[in-house]
Amino acid sequence: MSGNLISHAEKAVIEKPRNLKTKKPPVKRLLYPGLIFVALVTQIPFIMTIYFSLHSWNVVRPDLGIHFVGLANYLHYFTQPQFYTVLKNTLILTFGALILCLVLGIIFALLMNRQFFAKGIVRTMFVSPFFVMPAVAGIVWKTMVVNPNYGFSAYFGKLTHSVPIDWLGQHPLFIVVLIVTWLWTPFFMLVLLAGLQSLPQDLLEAAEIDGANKGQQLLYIVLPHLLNYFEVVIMLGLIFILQVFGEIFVTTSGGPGYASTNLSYYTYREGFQNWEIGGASTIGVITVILTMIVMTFLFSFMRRRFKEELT
Amino acid sequence: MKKLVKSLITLMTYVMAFIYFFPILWLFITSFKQEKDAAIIPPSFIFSPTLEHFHEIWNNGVAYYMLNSAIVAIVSTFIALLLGVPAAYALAVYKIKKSNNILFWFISTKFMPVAGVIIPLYLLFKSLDLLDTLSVLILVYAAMNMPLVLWMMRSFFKDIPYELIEASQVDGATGLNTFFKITLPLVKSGLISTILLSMVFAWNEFFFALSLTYTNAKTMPVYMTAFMTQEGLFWAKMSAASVFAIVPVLILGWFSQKQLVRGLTMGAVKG
Amino acid sequence: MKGVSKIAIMFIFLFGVFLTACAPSADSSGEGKNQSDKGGSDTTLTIATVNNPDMKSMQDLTSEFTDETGIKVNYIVLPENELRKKVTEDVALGAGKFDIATIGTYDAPIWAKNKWLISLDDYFNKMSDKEKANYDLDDVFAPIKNALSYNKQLYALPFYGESSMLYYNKNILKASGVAMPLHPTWQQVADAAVKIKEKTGKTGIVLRGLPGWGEMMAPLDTVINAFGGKWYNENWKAQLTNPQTEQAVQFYVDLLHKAGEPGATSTGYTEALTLMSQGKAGMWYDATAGAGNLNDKENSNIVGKVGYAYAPTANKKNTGWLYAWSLGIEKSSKHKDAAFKFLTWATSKDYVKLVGDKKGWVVAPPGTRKSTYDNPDYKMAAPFADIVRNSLEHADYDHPTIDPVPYKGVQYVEMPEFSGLGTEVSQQIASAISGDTSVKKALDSSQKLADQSAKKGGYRK
Repeated sequence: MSGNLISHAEKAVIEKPRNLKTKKPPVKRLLYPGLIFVALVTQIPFIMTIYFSLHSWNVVRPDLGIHFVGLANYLHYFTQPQFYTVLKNTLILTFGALILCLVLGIIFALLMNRQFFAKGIVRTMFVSPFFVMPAVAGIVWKTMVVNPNYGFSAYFGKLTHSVPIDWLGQHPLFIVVLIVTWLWTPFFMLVLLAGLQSLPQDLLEAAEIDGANKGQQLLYIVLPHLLNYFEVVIMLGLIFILQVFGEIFVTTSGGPGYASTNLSYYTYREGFQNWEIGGASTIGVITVILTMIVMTFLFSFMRRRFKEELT
Repeated sequence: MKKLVKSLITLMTYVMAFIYFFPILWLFITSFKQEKDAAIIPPSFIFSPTLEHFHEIWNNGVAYYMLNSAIVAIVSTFIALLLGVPAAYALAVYKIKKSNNILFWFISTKFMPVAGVIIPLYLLFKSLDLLDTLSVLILVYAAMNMPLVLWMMRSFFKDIPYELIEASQVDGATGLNTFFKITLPLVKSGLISTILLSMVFAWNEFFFALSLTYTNAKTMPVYMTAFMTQEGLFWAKMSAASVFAIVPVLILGWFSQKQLVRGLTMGAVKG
Repeated sequence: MKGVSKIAIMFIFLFGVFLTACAPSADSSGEGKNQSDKGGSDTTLTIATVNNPDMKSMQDLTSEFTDETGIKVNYIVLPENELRKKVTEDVALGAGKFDIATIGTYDAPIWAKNKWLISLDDYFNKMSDKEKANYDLDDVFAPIKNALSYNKQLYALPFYGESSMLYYNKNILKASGVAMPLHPTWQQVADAAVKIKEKTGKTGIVLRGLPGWGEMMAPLDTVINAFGGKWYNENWKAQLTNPQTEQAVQFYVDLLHKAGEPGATSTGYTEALTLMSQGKAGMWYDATAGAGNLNDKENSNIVGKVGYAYAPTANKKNTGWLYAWSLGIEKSSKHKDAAFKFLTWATSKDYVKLVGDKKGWVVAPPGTRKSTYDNPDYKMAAPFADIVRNSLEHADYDHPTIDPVPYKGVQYVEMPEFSGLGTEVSQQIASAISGDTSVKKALDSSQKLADQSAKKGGYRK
């Protein structure tokens, strides 16, 4: 049956000229307002950021003034060892949390795609962490869950007579990954669930009639249908997780050392702790460039690999 | 046998949901404790409850900040939808040259870490004299959420079988009418999800709100920071403030889930 | 046509919303917004402040000020880090939305130098003799006035002052067979902590380990000073790897490892206070502000069991730190006269008495005036008062270290870069506390950072 659902674009070409669809796409009316608005609000500040990255400006030393320094800021960061630690952390945090969220997200979505008693309440329970401010979530985890003096992990540790582990001191990045996963899985769940629910039931019924069991149905019908949604959730999820800041801010402050600092937090550290606006802008621009490279590869990889299903 | 497996899966779902929800449950419980009890080691479920924190926070004027957050969230989401849904439709339904590039460009506006762009934004809005107004937050959040709306709604639009749209047009309906009466209801569940997400992002956003507002346009997240590093014990109060912050969104989520059911009926096509 | 009218309706709706959003928001019962219905001038002061108990009292009592003068006050309350960020942003980028800013002794000279605050000397000179006598500037502790000055002019007035001291749990010490003298040395304290841990299994001493120039670095700096270490020598060459500094840091880290609290790198002031007030630790070295909380039945389980001692010493005496929250007037304020009125009201003897009468003497603003400590009501409510007073009067703000140094400041280095540098260094040391690296390596990295700061800031030519 899925083969009969020809793409809309092709239909538009085949159809006789009878309705609006075969005129030129009304791009101007539909697309431009959004494009122009976002461009204005985001690109103007972005250009300013690039400008600042070429200058040296310490906010608390107005007596030093603002100088043009060309690419000196960039050179400075590329020669700092902590820059590479931060890069490594960003990769681990982002992809680690992403994979965990994907796995948990699809599991929860599949679980929620059934009918059972108190389904509404359960869905609210799963989704609720997403509504919590990242900073509040961080504090709850820091003081309640992993605190080695009076958190739940210490409580369980006492029950099993083991020494309480100082999670935030010894494994800060790991804890941040957990918190981020906890916060973002509901997002993944919601999108994938919407995808599951848009799957036409008769496709599954037809497959069942043809003798496919639940596992095969999952693999050959459900997952391919969801590819569209996977793309959305990976692209968006990646961006959001990359930007993670509040969770780090209230738990580890990026430490100890630089152990749990990601690029987003590094920007904050340089800009609002060391008051180096030039430096923070530089990290920001570097982040954008690096993200662009990674995302371009990811994007075209997904398009090429799953071209059929996605277009 | 099948029934047993079903029940087991359901049971597992309950357990997982409870564990997942537990930290929030604890937050709620703590908000009813007195400060002394909130810091007790080991954590206890037995205590004498009190409403004092809620009273104190309410009398402190939290309603004002909740209202600010609500206005900003609703209006910015509305604008994001107004701009994003048509664009999503265009990208999903029409064969537009470079649509991939356009999609990518939109998402690239979110690559910059907030801390890197905050000073330029501050300077920009200072020169426009928009600091500490709700409008500035509305503008920024609308621009922040529009790519989200675009990407999500595009997926949902792509799922609509072309025949349905076409079928209605045979009956002589005009473009905009078709859109509102036929197409939109088909993506209702997706639309609700998108609205919910956009509202949550706007409601919880902290950094821009902190930097661009002072007193008039202060939102809940900024208000919440006042509880986070107070000198002295404060966890019960912070929990109570968090309850004020979470409950509206939870209620929103609860009501919207009625719409998050199987929306797409294929009956029209089959027949 | 139908489509067009729909769009038109949407635009009108949007426009309406836009207008409401832009219009000045109605005055609801916002926090701290005080309305006076006694006519008076329509000046409103905007003040940026931290959320500590003393500030809360001030907000509650502001109605008295408004009744007296007709001036209204608008409070913006933020945690310390955010406050500093926000006010710096406001003054440095020229928005000028605050009239009065709450700043610390660290900020005052920097802001004065950057011309972000106005000098208060002119205003004091303009006061009538009666007003001057009433306010009694001489009553304010000299070291604090000194710390709030720049080029011999006063730029802010303190409403809260603190030093550092040692707290101990009398019961736990008794159970461990440990006695604590009034003027202990750090070695005595370390030995006591280890003994407490051995005998009772509880944490011997709680010390801040949370990274931050105002968190871990504060007590650690006093230890560095005590052992004869320093940040820079007179030529602004970094001294973080010199033997005394290294000895001090090693001592701090070792003490935490041997008898300190678990999870030290997440323990800031608040967490430390919680541990101590829950009776989970034998001793705690930290700000004198903790004393009030530890004696408060509402928040503490150890009321009546608290012992007090002076900040421990080693090679140097008088190691207690100096810090004060104060109010300063922003250069860009349009209501400087009104602001000065508020400043003098909130830091006056009468105000201290007001808090004492209305809220209880145990929460009267401490550490600013000698008269507070002469007051019998206060002395009765605060058994630790003498230690605090002596620590404050003798704090070595100008000469914090044994050797001469080019900077001032006891628990911080009085330079604008320090909020960044101090935090970065504390992060390195946190790595040593958590065992990721050795103290030596942490200090080597810190040394490089300190040298960089000195060079970049133009201190070292």
